[in-house]
Amino acid sequence: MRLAISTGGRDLDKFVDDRFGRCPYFMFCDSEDPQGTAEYKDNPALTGTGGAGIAAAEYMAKEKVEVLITGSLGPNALRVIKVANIPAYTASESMTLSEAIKAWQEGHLAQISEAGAAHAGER
Amino acid sequence: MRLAVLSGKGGTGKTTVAVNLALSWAPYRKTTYIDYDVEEPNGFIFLRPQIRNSSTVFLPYPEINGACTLCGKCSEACQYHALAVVGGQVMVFPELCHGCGTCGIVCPVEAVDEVERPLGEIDEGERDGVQCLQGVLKEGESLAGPVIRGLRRREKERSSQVEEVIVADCPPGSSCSVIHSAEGSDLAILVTEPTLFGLHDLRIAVGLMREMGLDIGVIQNKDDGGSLIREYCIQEGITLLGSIPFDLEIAGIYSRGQSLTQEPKWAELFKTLGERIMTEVTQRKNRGKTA
Repeated sequence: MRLAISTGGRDLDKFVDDRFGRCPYFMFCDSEDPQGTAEYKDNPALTGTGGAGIAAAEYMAKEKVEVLITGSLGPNALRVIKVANIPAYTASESMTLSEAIKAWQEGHLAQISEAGAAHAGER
Repeated sequence: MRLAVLSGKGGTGKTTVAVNLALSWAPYRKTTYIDYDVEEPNGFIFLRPQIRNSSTVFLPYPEINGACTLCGKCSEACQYHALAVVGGQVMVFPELCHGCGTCGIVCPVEAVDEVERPLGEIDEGERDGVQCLQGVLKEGESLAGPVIRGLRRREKERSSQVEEVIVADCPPGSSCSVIHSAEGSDLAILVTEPTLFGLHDLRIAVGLMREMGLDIGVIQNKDDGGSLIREYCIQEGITLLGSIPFDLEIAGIYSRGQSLTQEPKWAELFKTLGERIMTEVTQRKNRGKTA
């Protein structure tokens, strides 16, 4: 499955970024082989003045992401992610990307069903 | 003549100054008070005008019709991310839309219809010879700009009449809202208070007004007799137009929602202040002509 994780670094040993719309990068990989397939792309929503969550969620759909791991999703981002039919899971910032993938594979990550605070990533 | 009353810091007395100046000019000149602080207009609390007209300010936003091919050009073009093309549909977020119309321009198949939503209101009325206008942004909305622009249009339509004094009660801060409210004024009257916070924000407001090329003058409210603001004005070569004392009676009248001009002592203060401002603007205009 094609997996995306919000992150602050470009390595599987780097940490999950709990901001979705305002994270610096997204890591994309095939969940069968994260080591071999991981690629890192700049978050295109980062520079906008508003609506970052919407833009990042739309980007997930464009990238044909099948599973999203992030901290939390604001109300607008969650609406878009739901319409795009992408299941999203919450991971903490203390997890590395490798650890988050492992935790998701083992079923330890909770699915995001409710929106977090709006504008939470603007810091 | 257009006078913008602003401050930088909130709560320094913009509305107190704007309202009482307008009331003290009204017997001698055609005067219009306009509350541009649309996020929190409070001038009408003190003026209590008889409202004779209210109109709604609308903002356009897109609605996608059946011609849409899901090409995604609208969403790509939208700077505010008010559109998202996902899951075989175009999602529209009206509250993020600035009403610029770009989505409709870039759409290759005319699938974008423009609809409107109410964003705020403009009220007009009169009190003791002062023509009163205010803009009110709807609660929960964040786009003050369109309501301010609506007010400016209304102001322009009215002020074709000769020799009118327009007192524009501007929002606090130094954002776009302040710029749109103050631009084109003959004088920017900066109301400040003798606190470090007041001075800090006054400096920012002065910088903004200079950037905009507006003439400036300062009124010190809650004057405690100290030198903080006076020294700053001397250093910067800014005219101190006048001072309003730190006075319990003023606070009392204010908190009852009344105008200071109803008390002879304060009516006199504002009359003098108003005359000083008129002289200042006229002198600067004449200097401009000879220069």
